[in-house]
Amino acid sequence: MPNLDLTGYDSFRQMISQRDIRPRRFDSNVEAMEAVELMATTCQLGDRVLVLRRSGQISEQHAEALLQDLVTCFIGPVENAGRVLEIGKQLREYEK
Amino acid sequence: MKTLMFYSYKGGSGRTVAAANVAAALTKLGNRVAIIDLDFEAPGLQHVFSAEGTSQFKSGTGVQHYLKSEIDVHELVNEVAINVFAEDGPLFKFDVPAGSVLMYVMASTKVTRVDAQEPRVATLMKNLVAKLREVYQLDYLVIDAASGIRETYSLAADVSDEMLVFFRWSTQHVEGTLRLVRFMSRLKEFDQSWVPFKLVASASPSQTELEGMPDTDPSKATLLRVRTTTEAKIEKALIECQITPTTIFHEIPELLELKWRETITVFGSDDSPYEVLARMIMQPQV
Repeated sequence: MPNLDLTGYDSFRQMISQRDIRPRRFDSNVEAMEAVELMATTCQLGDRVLVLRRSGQISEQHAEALLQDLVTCFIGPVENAGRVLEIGKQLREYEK
Repeated sequence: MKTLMFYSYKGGSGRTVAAANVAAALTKLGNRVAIIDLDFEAPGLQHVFSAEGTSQFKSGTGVQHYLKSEIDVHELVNEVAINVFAEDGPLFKFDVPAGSVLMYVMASTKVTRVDAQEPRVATLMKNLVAKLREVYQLDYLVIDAASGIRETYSLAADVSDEMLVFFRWSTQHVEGTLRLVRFMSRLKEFDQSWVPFKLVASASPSQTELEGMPDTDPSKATLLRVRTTTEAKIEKALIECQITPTTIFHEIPELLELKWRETITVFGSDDSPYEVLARMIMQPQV
């Protein structure tokens, strides 16, 4: 698992942009509309992971694994929609 | 050629009547125009163009049959499409300038399912647009798109240069329109292509009509309140989304829309809101 150096990033958007991870272009408008909603959710989840890590509620290793998953979801949002939901559920448990 | 998508998030916004009248106004102003009915589940342009009596309409063939590859583009463009203002067209009574034309590509009113998700269908749609442009040397192509966000939305949006988003001054219509604005903003945020749009308030009393109502009318206060609050919501959302429509809203008042509902009205005067909108469309973009 690559070290994402969590402490260096204020937000998930900053992290992906500095790592030159760009959104894929979609052929049709409806596909893109579905995808961008999921991408926005992915970014919010990424921010929540960073907050949980900073507050010590999750380990660095776990945070990195989640962020790595979220990067995959960001690149392929529609095919990984289920994973986005799962991560959301997981984070809600930590945030309780 | 400029392709204009007439769209509304909810039905009942006067979108179809406006699409037909703006297409007619563009023709009246000397342009070569075609209009495609992409509202497959509830086509309505045939009524506005009085085309129910034509042999093309009676044949039951429409754009869905082309998108299902049951007829070819040549047949759709040359045989199914109706020349609305021609001598043998349904609206021959209206005079249009020499050289202008309005071709109407109808949707079949028979239940004909099209799988718009198939990439092949998107390609066929692009081919249809190219063929119409080539055969009729079009200045404008108008698309009457179905309401909601569904696969046919993409068929229209993917070939359009500009979208005219119709809404009534009601919570459901405005909230739906704002949802679309937020989608556009997200598309922009994540570097996806999005269609520039105009917001068109339609089928509702205009501000002038509202102000002219007697104060004793109990609906006046409610209508004014709904309009003021929804108007504020739109402006707030546009600022939040950092997205600007090319026109915040053009208005097609309800009384006018109701008075001449389901007919072509632009030949009666030069100041119909449809013609004003057509002139706005014809202005070069700055």
